[in-house]
Amino acid sequence: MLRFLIKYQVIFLFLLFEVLSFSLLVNGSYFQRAKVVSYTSDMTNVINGHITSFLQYLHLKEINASLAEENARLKNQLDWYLSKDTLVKKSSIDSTRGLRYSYIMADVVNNSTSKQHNYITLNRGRGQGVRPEMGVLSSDGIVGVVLSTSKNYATVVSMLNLNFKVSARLKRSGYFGSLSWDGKDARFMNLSDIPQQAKIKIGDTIETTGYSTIFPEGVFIGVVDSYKVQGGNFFQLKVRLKCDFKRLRYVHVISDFRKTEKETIESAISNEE
Amino acid sequence: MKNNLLKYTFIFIALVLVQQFVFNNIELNTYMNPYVYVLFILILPFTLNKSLLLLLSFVLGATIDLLSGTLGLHSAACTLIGYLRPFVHAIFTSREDFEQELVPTIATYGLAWFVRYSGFLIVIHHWVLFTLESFTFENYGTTIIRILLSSVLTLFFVILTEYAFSKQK
Repeated sequence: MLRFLIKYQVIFLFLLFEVLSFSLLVNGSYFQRAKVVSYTSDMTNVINGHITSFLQYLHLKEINASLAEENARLKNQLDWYLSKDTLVKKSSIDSTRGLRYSYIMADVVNNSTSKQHNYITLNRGRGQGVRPEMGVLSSDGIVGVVLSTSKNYATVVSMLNLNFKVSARLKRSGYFGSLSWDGKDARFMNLSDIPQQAKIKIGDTIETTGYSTIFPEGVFIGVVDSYKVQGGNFFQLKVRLKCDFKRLRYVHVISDFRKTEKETIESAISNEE
Repeated sequence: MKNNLLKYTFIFIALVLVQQFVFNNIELNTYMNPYVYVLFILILPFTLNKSLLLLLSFVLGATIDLLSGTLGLHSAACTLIGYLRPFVHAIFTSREDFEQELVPTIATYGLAWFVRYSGFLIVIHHWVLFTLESFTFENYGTTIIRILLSSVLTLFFVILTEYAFSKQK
C-alpha cells in the first residue's frame, strides 16, 4: 500500500491539492472571505495606504474639482431648505428627531474594478464606528456595502461584484427593480425587472429606493443608457453610473440610526406569517 | 544548492509582492488582468522533484489567495499547471535539448520555444482561473475573451521579465 502511494505520489498530491482548493472555493462565502481578509489585510493595507496616498497626490486637481462641485451642490440644497423652512422653524421642530443618518468620512486604500468580484478597502474600521452592512457612498452615488471590519480598516463589497444586488428605481415614474453588475464594464450596471408599462426615456435618472436600511432614499446612481425587453413583461435597463470607480478616492460610510428599529418591526411581520 | 534555495525564495517573494502591489493595481478593464506571478512555476529547474514542484505551485497559489481573499481560486489553477508542466516540457522539447538543459529560460531554449512552453501553461492557468472566478458557464464567450486577452498580456510581461533578468547574469 505504502509502495503504491509512493509510486503514484505525484498524482495523489495533485488530487489532494485540487480537492483542497475546490473545497475551499466551493465553501468560500462572504463570511469566510471576511475572516481571511481580516487576518491578512492589515499588513497589506498599510502598504496599500502608502501607494494610495502617493497616487492621491497625483490626482489632487481632479479631487479638488469634484469636492468643489459637491460643495456647490450642498450649498444649493442648504439654501433651498433654509428658504422653505421658515414656517416650520417657528413651530420649533425637534431637529434631532428627524436626524436619521450619520456619515463617516473614509479614504479608499485599495480598490479593484477589473475582477469579477471586486472589493474596496477603507481606512476606517471598528474603532471609528464602521460596522458590517453599512452602506458606502461617494459624492457621485452609491459605492457598496461594508462586509467586514478590523480595528482600523473595513472591507467593502463593491457594486462591481457579481454578488451585489440593490433595489433601485426610476426617479420619474417610481418603478423599481434590482440593480446588479454583469462583470463586463465598470461604467455600467443593469437594472432588471422593470415592468413594461413603465415609460422609459434614455437619460432618465436612476436612484436608490430606501427599502433597505443600507442606503438613504433618493441617492443618485446613474442614468439610463439603453434598454431591452427581458423575457416576458419586463425591461432590463443599462444604467450608466455617475460614480467613476476607477477614480474612487474619498467615500462616506452611512450609519442608519433607525436600522434596528426598522428591522425589528419587519421581522415581527415575517414571524407572523 | 543552497544558493538556489535562496535565489528561488527571493524570486517567490518578489513575484508575490509585485503581483499584489503592482499588477493587481493596473486595473485596465475586466478583460485584461495579468497574473505574472506564474513566472515562478515556469522557471523552476526541470531537475526539480515533481512532488516538490506541485507543492511549490500550490503554496504559491495559496499565498496569492490569502493576500487577495480568494481562497482556493489561484491555488487550483497553479496546482494544475504545476502538475502539467513536466508533460508540456516533454511535448515541446526535442530529445537532445531534453537531456541537456536544466533551467527553462529564453537564453537556453530560445524565444520560440519559451513562448510555446509558457504560452501553453499560461493559457491553461488563466482558463481555470477565470472560469472559476466567474463560476458560471453563462456568457462563456466573454470569459473566453477574458482568458485570451489576459493570457497575451501575462505572456508579454513574463517574456519582458525573462529578458530583463537574463541579461544581468
